[in-house]
Amino acid sequence: MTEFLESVRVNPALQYAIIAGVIACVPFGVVGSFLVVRRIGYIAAAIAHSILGGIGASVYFSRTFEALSWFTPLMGASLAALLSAFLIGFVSLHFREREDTLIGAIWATGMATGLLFLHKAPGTGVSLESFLFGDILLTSQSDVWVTAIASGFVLLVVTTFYPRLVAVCFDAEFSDLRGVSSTRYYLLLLVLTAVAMVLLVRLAGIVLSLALLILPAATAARLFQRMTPIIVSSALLSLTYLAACFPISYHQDLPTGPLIVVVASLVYGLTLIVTRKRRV
Amino acid sequence: MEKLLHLDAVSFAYGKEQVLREVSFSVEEQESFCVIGPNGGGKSTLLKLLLGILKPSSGAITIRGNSPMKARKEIAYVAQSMHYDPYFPASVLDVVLMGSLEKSRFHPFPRWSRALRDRAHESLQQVDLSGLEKSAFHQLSGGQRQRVVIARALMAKPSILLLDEPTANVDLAVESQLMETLTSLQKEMAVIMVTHDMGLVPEIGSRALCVNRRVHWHDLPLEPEMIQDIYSGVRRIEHNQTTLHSQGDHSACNHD
Repeated sequence: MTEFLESVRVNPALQYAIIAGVIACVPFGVVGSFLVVRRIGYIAAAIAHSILGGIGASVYFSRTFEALSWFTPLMGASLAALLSAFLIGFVSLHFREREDTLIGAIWATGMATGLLFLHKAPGTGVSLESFLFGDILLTSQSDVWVTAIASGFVLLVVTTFYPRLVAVCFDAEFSDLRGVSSTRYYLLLLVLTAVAMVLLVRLAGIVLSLALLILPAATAARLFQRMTPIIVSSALLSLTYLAACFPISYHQDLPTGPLIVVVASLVYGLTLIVTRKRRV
Repeated sequence: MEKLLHLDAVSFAYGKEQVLREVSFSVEEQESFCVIGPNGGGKSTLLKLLLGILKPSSGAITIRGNSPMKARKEIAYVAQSMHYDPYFPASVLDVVLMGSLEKSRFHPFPRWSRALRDRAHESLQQVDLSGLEKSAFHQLSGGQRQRVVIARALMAKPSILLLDEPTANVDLAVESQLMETLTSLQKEMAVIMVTHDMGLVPEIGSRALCVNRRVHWHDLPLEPEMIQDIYSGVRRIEHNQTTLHSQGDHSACNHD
């Protein structure tokens, strides 16, 4: 542990990774909890996978056209996440009977588009693996700022609209009758999901992001019976996984993201067994 | 004197399909009744019109002289139990407080005002669930859950409580608890309940409103022949072009 702490002291990349990870636990706890109680984890998965389309497009266009060199993978990922969030929102609100098929199509099309763009992108150095599985150790100072701003945005929005978001997740029809548009707040929830996914994909990659978002919240939902404790404990669980797995992955030379997912899955499985009589 | 609820020659059509034809009736303060009628007769459409979700093709609906959209606070709605997530992580108080949400009023996280919390306690008292404020919603029985949902609707202090088959999919014990609550609420507001259960009709008010494209009032108790008449001949009435007088007409719904 002392060796790890010494490495953190001298290695700015490790410091950035830890700071970004700690800050990001807040939006993950908040957004993950809403996804779990609203039972729309598969929508978050579709958004995560369609992000590859945006990343691929940004790599292709920024390398092909000099005028578009400002189009970074973060911009591409954010654009794709927001676009797929609105598209999925539109589909699930207007094509309910075909929802699963259409969301599956958006999911696959996003990934396929990204792969095509990356294949045709000029130059070298595009690591598909880093997008798919992430690498928290590649976190830069600018990543820390982006994470802090995005986390602040998620926290501000949820704090402002908290009772409305909860009410819409519980009973959309009643909210509409009270003049609180369930459509608007459902789309807001998807936008928050898109923001959290963009952050998570940078830290953990597309494949693992969903598990990191959902598992702590799903574990917390088994243990608590109100939204606020679920959100708080979900964020704390994310923080604990990060604090426990970071030194281990560093010492044992293991990838951090997959290690966190395995630990989070084991804890969730254990919680399921211990609380098996509950039906949440 | 201004009526609590007034429908004046209200018609509604989904495209070319006429669902309600020139429906007119009035409801006085604290006048309660059941809405009955065959499936496809227009009960749900009538509810949606009263709630302001749909707008009449012709005619007018007023609640204390205002349109349903403007009178949103006057009318509270309780849907069938399947509309909400019964396992949602919330306390009873959390669910009831959701009833205070309004388009124009913000309650940022984390505190509700003292006045709203007091109002929530009062609403729970009205449905005889005092003391359960901190209980988890999903741990309640089906009947208790439905009463919590009624308490949520009461948060707005409505003059009309509209219920859409609140006893559907519940067992007899739950049904009896619910009816007890609704009986006591009839002293404070107009309770309008859509139901297919003819056994419950006499427990709400002294007459029932039958909806089958048009509307007819029936004095209670309903004779068995009358019930059979109400629930037969949907198609017959669909093509019936003869004039039926809505208000004060005590004939069966599908009377030619």
